[in-house]
Amino acid sequence: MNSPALFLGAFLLPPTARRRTGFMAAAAAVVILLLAWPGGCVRANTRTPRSWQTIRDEMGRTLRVRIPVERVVALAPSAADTLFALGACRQVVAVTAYADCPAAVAPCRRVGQPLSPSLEMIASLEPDLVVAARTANRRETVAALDRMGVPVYVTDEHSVGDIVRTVRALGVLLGMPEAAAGLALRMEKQLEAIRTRLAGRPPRRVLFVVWVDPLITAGPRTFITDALRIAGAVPAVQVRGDWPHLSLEQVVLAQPEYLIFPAATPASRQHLLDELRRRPGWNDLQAVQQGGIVIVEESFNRPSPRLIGQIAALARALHPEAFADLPQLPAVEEEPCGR
Amino acid sequence: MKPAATPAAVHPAPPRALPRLGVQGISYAYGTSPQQFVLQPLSFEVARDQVLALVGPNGSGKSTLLRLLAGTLEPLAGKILLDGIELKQLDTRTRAQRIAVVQQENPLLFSLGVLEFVLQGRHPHGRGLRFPDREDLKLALQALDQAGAGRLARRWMHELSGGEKQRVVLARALAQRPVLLLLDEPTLHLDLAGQIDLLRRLRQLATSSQTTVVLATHDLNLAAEFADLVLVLDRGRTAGLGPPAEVLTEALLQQVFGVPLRVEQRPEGTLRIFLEVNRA
Amino acid sequence: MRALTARRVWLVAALLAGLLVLMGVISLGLGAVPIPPRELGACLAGAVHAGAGSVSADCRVIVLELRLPRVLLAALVGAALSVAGAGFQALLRNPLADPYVLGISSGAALGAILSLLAGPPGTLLTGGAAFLGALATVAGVYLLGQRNGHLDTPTLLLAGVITASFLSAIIMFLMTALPGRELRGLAFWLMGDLSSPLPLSLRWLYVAALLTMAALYTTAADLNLLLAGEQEALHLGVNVRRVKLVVYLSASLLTALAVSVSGAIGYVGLLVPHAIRLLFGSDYRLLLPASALGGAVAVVFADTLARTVAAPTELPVGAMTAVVGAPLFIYLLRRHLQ
Repeated sequence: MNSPALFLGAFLLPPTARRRTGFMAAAAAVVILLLAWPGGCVRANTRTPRSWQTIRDEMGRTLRVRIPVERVVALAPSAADTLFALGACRQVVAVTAYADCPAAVAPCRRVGQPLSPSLEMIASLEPDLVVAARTANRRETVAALDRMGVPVYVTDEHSVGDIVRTVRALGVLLGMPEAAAGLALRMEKQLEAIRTRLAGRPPRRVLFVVWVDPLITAGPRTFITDALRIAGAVPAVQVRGDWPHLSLEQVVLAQPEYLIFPAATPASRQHLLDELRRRPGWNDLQAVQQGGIVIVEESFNRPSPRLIGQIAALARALHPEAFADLPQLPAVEEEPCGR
Repeated sequence: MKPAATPAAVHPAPPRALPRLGVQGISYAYGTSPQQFVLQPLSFEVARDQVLALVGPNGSGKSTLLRLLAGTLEPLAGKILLDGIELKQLDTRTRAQRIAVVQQENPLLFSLGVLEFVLQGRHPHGRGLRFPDREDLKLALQALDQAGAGRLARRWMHELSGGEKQRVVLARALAQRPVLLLLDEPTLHLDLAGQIDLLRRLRQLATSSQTTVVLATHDLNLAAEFADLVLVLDRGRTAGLGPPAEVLTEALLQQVFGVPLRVEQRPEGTLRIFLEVNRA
Repeated sequence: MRALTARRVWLVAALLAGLLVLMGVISLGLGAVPIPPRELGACLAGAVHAGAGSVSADCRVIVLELRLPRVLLAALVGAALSVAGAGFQALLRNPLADPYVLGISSGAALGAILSLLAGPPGTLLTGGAAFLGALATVAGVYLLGQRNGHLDTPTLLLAGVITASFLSAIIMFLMTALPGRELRGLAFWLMGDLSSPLPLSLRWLYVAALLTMAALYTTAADLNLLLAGEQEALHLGVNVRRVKLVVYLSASLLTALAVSVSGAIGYVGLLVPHAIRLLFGSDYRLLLPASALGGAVAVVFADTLARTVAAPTELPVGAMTAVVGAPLFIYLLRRHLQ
């Protein structure tokens, strides 16, 4: 369970409140730590009667599912992460390649890549539900599963709030509404805490670089842009569409203060900086010249609860003054990803 | 395939008076201006057992005339009659049952057996997928014999020498059992013996099978020796038409070909044409 | 060399058909979920005797509902492409001709992309739009390839190649306009993918393909002659204009059918006819049916590889045919040159 998130949340409380709640927070933290480490899986509640229900997923598709779901296949890495965050690890019968968060997902059976999974394998696992993501899976795969009679819930997050909604929806499907509510609440509290810290501060103008060559950024209706907004940033270049290509000239014209790169390993920032300084066009950017590069984790690309922690880290990187009174963030995060 | 009937049954024998091939005032041009006339209006007749030789320099219209006779080109004016029937009125299949063409070049894209190649000559007489029956095989082997290529039946086309290939191509034409056989420079790839052998066979064909033979050739001596009729073309115009002895005169030949020639009449009635090269 | 007889055609066809059935049955047992031969045998026997309702769930879902239609589709596409390739090689008198040389696959791809762009969000890559695109290309190239009122081979080839090139340029341009998500589905389709939904039921696709192949087969004897040259064919009684038209339409229709249901699976239409020629000779009366069966075997094999090589990931079939086809092409080329 995400008690470490609670830990983190405590450190984001505004300074004035800290002295009062500090004692209580510490006590609570210890108790919750004891209760919840190491991250536990919620045993499926076998006493709840199962019933067929018709629900709509986030793409507006209708599906008939037997709720609560007992066997679920996570067809996208974000779905796997969210399901494990809910504590549904026992109900997850399979995941896909690239699903590496949290580390506990490692022993799970794999059904292939998100773009080309093995339909046979999914069929033979006889899942009650498959959770797919619009950003990670093909329509054709979803259609094929439909034809096979396997219910597919497709998530489609366009904002951070949508991610919270997904958490609640999946909670209902898995028969763990309380766990979902708890997780959702914690997520919202963290978000609120970040917002409060950043209140009144002017946002930084940034460019989120999905891919360097060709240059691709995130559009206004993506959850990434919403996450940036919460972290106190605003896109420096106005774009349309979800994952538009940009020309370097537009970026030079806009001169963002920071360039944000999601990297598989938060490896040498210096290395990246050196690389960019060598490229023509890129070295015309103030951000490159002055070292305004922020590297966030790969999970920034995934619409799962883990994103909240990433937003906090980014906010701290962009607005260090707002977090000046906090000591170094504890090394604890959510259960870390495997490698 | 149903066995093809003999030519007599397929083409009801015309009255003796009618020539096998009748050409009446045909002409041809590739464009519309008078200077582009490839063939000026010409007429001639060839009987059932005759060999007609077409001679003339390059560009005189020999190949065009052959294509008109084959029916692949339509004359601008005039008529071509085969056994009294206008060529224009025959469909492709019927035409191929009566007229066979031996061309200069025979490119092959994929390897083929000799017998298969000759069997292609039975195509106009068959229907559908045309798997050969006994009759077809017999006729194909006969045709190979007639062309002097009987021993090549089991070989592959691409293995053959130029001369052998020429014989096989002739065999295919003969397998069609044509009443009119057209040949465009058939002696090009043949050695001397081969040339004479071919012409002898053509002569034999005309006489014994009543097949009319029209061949375009550069070799004046062969034409003089083996042809019943010679048509000399000069830039699309008929320069001479008739038996070799009458047409192949020094004056006409020098005028048409533009090279010094000497024509010798032999006692037995044959002609020999020599190049007169001045060794100064 | 002996002349070709109907008996030999039947023999070769029976041999290849047997190979196809064997390949098909093996393919039914292979995949990300291995099904041992005994279980497979029981599954198939049970299905034949008592219907699909009586067998185990694994059998029903995996073998009968997932793999069997896929194997049948693979066979159909392989047959159609190989016959079309053989037909185009005769029509264009060019051994390098393949079903896509006249732009049909580009037209189909364009049709598919336009349907994705113009349709409401959630449109699937269906074969219908691709088929229409292919047909439009066939008509366009036909009109461009005319000379004096009939199909002229060099003009046709030129028209086809230029059309293919032009359409590919448009496709590349449009692909930049597509949102990134759609691109993935399209990329799979372009590589040749047997798992897309079918525009028509498999039965009707088979009927259409078989009828078209039969129409093409009626010209088999004529094609043998056409290969020697149009003049020669004409002199031997072939109605060259009619035959060229029949071949163009049949081969194009077969290609359009194949591409619409499975994207552009490459190398099959080019190589299968050549392999058959090497084994059994160039006579089209044998080449056409043998290519159909041989092509079916080839694509079923490629599909089996696609489903097993990187299991549980399913690779696109076109990637397999390319990986196997390219070295094979080089081998055939060297052999041909010797």
